[in-house]
Amino acid sequence: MVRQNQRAIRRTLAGPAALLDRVLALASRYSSSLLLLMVFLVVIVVGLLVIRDLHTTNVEAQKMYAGSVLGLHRIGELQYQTQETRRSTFYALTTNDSNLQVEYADQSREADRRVNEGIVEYVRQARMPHEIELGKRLQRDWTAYLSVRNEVLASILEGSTKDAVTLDLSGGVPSFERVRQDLEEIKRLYDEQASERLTNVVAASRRFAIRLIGVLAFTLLFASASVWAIQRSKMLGAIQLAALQMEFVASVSHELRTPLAVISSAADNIVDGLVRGKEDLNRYGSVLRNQSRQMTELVDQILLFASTKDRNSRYLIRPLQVSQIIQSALNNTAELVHETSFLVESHIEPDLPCIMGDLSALSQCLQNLIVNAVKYSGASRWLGISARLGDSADRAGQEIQIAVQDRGLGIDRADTPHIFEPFYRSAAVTAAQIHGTGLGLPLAKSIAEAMGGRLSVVSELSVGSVFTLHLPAAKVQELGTAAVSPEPHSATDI
Amino acid sequence: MPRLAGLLFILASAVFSIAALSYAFAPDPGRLPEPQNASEQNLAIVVNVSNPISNLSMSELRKIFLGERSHWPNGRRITLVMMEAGQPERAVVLRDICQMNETDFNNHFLHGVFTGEVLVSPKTLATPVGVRKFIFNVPGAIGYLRVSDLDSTVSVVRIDERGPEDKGYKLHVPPRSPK
Amino acid sequence: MKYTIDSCFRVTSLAKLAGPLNPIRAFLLLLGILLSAPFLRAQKIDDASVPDKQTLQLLLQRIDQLEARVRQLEAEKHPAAVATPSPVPAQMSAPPATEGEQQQAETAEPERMDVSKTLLRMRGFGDITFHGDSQKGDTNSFSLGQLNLFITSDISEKFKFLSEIVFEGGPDNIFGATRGENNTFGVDIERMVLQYSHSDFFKLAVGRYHTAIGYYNTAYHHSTWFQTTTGRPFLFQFEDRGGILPIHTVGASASGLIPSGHLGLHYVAEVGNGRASRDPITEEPVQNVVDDQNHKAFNLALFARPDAVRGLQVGFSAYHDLLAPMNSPRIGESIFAAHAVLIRSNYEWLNEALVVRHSPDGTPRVFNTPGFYTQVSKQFGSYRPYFRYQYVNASNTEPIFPDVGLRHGPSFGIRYDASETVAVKLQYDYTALRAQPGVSALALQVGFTF
Repeated sequence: MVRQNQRAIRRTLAGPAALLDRVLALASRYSSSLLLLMVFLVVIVVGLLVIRDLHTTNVEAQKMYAGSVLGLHRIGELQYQTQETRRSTFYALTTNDSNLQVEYADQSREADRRVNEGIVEYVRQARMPHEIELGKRLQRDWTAYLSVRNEVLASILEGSTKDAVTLDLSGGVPSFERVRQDLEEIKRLYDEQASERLTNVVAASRRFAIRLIGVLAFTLLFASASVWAIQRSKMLGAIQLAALQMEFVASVSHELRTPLAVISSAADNIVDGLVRGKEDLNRYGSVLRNQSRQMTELVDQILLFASTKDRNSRYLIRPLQVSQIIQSALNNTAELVHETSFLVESHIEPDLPCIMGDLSALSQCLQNLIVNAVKYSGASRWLGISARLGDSADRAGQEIQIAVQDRGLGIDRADTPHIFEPFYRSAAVTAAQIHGTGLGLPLAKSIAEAMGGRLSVVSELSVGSVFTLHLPAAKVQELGTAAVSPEPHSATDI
Repeated sequence: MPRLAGLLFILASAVFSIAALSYAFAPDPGRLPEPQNASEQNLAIVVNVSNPISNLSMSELRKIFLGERSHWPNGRRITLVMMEAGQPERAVVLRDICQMNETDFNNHFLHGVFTGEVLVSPKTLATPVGVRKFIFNVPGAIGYLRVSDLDSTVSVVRIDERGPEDKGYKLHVPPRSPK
Repeated sequence: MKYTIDSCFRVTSLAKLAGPLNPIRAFLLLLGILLSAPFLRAQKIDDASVPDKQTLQLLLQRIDQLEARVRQLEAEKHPAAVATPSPVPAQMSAPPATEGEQQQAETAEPERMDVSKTLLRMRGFGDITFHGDSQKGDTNSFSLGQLNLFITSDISEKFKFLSEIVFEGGPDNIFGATRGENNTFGVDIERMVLQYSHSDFFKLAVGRYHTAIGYYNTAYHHSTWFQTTTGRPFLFQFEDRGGILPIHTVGASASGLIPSGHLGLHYVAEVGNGRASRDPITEEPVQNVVDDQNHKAFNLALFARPDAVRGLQVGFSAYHDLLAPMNSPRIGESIFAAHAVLIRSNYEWLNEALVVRHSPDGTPRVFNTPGFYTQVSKQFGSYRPYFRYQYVNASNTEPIFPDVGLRHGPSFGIRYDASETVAVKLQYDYTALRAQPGVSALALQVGFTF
């Protein structure tokens, strides 16, 4: 039961897991850098959000500081200067020297000027009605005190000390007390505002911290998932490649084993003396020759494919006629066509412009297409080759389209995107035991791209396939350059 | 002999009396001619800005500066502000307004306080800035400043309907010596 | 009984010292004094501004005491307000001196300085005289003159206190001490006045003051340093030295300007106790505490200081009192005085004339005693030579001062200001007397203020 459940769970998970693996393989195949870009964008967005929140908190903190801390400092300064105003007035009482008395009077006036400035600044910055009313009341009370202070100073300077003291006691003390109470009230107001702002800032900071943690957690998860996805896609790609390589090795081994077995069998027979006459010897010799040719072709193909992957491979680029290329390919595959009794229809449009390319490479490319058409024709024994002039896909100029058509098995739509992958062989081909290395089409595609063209396919199951080689028509200046310096060019130069 | 002495004494008295009379009606030596030097500045008489007085005659000014006036018309006590002895501004005031020298001025106030005619002796300040600030602070104060030392904190009083900027103004002070 | 008038007018024989008075010897003496005058010139006391350490210390202590007192007053007024300076916010940067001031204030607090004390100023005057005269019985003597402490205090903007406390020697009326011998000292409060100044048009003084009769009595008080001459004119001699005028009055005096434009009219109106009758001689003619009768003395004076003539003052005064001499009917006393003085910085010319009228009750008889003086002087640098002629003629039957008689004569002298505060005077007086030989006197006086 448990095992059944486990199997059921595995079966259940196997479906979404397989889907996920397919998606990841798809993503890794097409672009892991896209995934990295997405991660980068997400991090950028997260970073911007964090910076925005930080900035908001900073602004709030600055407002709180400016509004409350500076305000308290301002009040402290006001309190000090009001005391200075009064102190300087009293110091004038302590001397009979008029010069010193004037100096103290000046100090008192300077202090009261600073008080006036402070009050004006407070009223200017006040926003709430209560603050404005308080500021105006402070201004009134301070003005009232100053009028008494001026009389006290005048009395002191005139020499009427007793009058000065009496006036200050009767008028100065009560008015200064009112000023002091006003300042205390303002200070209390600032304290309350500071507490309120502090509460707001603390709440904002808490919210920001929570948000930041959330965003960072999300970013961490996303980045981890992305990294895991990238790693997994790479791993799958590597696994896939390894599987393809193993398959290629197995296929190559299988391909090599057959002729090797034949050769070995023929050699055994020769050794065992089963070969009696010249006729038998000729027969065994032909078998050995054919099998060794097959093995040689296989090895050549593998080596050619490897050479196309080499960026430094050099082609002899020169102007070529289309008929020339087709004829070369047909010549090289004539024996195969004859042996398989295929009918080859060839139709080449007249007056096709030249193309710039390497004859042997392009010939090999067409040969691969022709060999594939032969292999996958099924019961059909027809093969068509055509060449015509057409517009390039990007409409930048004209191109020569050389098509190889068959009426054979066709290609499944699911397999079509993979047929140009190295060592790829579809399950249907494998099931049909059609021999091959899986390198023919990738090689043809590489050559086509090296010549500045491309290879396309149109296929339908059980109807047939058309492989088209698109090659750009040679331009006039290319023809002129090629005429002047017929040096071999690297494929990358085209 | 006593009669002769008496006659001699009477004769001497007459001589002295005549001499005294001639000095009594002699031109006032205290007033010097107006200076001709264009580089001299005018000396302004200044009061507190709350003082409604805008013009004084020279004789009224003299009475104020000699302590013979103790109150302004608005009832505020007059506080006379002088600069320290040796200042050219003080010398001009003593010469042109009080028509006394330093010793006579001091003795006059000492005598005035002694007799009770003068209520308060003048206040003495060391610098023009101190004078200006004193007058600014005391509603009943009166003093003097060079025109170049004036600012909006004090009010200038015209003398005989002439201000410091008018032609014929009577108080001139030599320029300050450079330090 | 012959009544001595003034030490300056006592005549003794200089011959006792150096033979009969010889013009040549007098000249030599004068020359010697003048030549030695530069060595008498005192250094000017720079009493301005360089304070010594002790003064600075005292000032600092006063500052501390003042602050403590202010805090105490504020605490008494508003107990809560005292705590206000203490809880200063942390943001305030209190000046470093504040703590020091508070510490000093705390240490100064127990002394309880009274901030309400007013500014008391004191000035002193004195003189020392060497004199001799030709009158028999008088000796050449050095005499300490009056030591005069002149005290003022600005009580408030409107009120001011003024007093003259005089220490004087001699067998005269002494305030508060027993009558003593020639060389004893007594203390007199010659003036004690509380002044109220409402405006230039009304001032009121109460206390003991110099009666506003004529010019000299209100212009010159008990300091010889202020005077040009060594002493006062006959007419204005102090009561306790035999003066015939009521120099002092205890009462009330109103004075002020009369709006008169350039004429500069002033008025003085006084009422007071008057003086006790001079006959018999009383210890103190000025009735400081008790008036011997309900009748008060009245005085009214008017004088003008016209703007047209700088330094000129002309005036008139009328005084009336009722004297009550012992064992005599009451005598109405009227004194009419006129003066014209011209005073400039370099010279002066004083002229006064008065008549004292005594009319005893119940008799039609009126005793008029005229008197006048004229005095002129001129400044030459530090020297001021002067001349004075004075005259008084009292009838021998004058009920109040029969001893005065006729006195007249010139005085010549020179005053030398050795410094701003010290004056040296040399004066020669000749006094002609009725039915007596004239008296010559010479005096050398040093008068000073401090």
